Amino acid sequence: MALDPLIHQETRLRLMALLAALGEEAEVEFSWLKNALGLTEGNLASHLQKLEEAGYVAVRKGFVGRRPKTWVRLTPKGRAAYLAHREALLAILQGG
Amino acid sequence: MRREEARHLLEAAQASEREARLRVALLGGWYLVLWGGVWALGYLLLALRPAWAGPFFALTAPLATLLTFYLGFRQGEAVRSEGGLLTFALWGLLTLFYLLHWAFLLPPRGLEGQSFLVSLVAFGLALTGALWKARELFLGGLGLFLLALLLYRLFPEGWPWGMALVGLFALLLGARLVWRWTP
Repeated sequence: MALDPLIHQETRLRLMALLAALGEEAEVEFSWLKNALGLTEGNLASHLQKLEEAGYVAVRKGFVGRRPKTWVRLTPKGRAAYLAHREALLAILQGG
Repeated sequence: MRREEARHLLEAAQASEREARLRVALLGGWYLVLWGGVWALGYLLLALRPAWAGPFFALTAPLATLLTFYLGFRQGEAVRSEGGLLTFALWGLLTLFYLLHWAFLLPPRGLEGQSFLVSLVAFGLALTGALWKARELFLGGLGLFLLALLLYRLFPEGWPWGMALVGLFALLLGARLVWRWTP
């Protein structure tokens, strides 16, 4: 089982873990994600861009009242990649 | 890759998963602050000034319920998930059943009514823990029920003090979580 170089970076791994933990189809607002991970806006946006290009997350823009908001969700491809990466880490640990 | 690095990354992922679920289930920690405060003060009053406890609960419990629903709605805008909706529905139904029970069957003036309320809260916590795979909440629910049972059967006179301590513990734990989760 191979490690995914894109998810291997710790911040992106934590980001994917957080999204995966909230269940399939869960959508998380950008600022909630930023606070949860303790990142700056620019930093989070840059990680999200890489994950979006790989098709691991989907980003949706919308409004709540008049305020613009951005929501992020894990795609089925992203969930599968995260679970595979997690399994690969576990295999390394168990394999000695 | 070295095992130490794999262990570190796996633990980081597991911690992120656990924190995300707990954070949503506890409304960012505010749920514990709010209800822990109400319980701690209300039961302290019940122990020291029993005549004031009824009006205190009658005033603060509906306010805390409204605030909880407000926090739930606000969080629902930031985190849209099926688990969140289920948790919201669960606590909404528990509150409704409790109010119906209070209004038509048994007001929580005596120990019987209060123990029913505590069991309902303990059940809600345990089920929320099961929904969100949060072992702390699941065990917290069971622990609360066991404590209520022990106090009810063995030390009924210590009931208000015991519940006040539970409230204080929840308040302090909630404050710690809010501190950790608020940037």
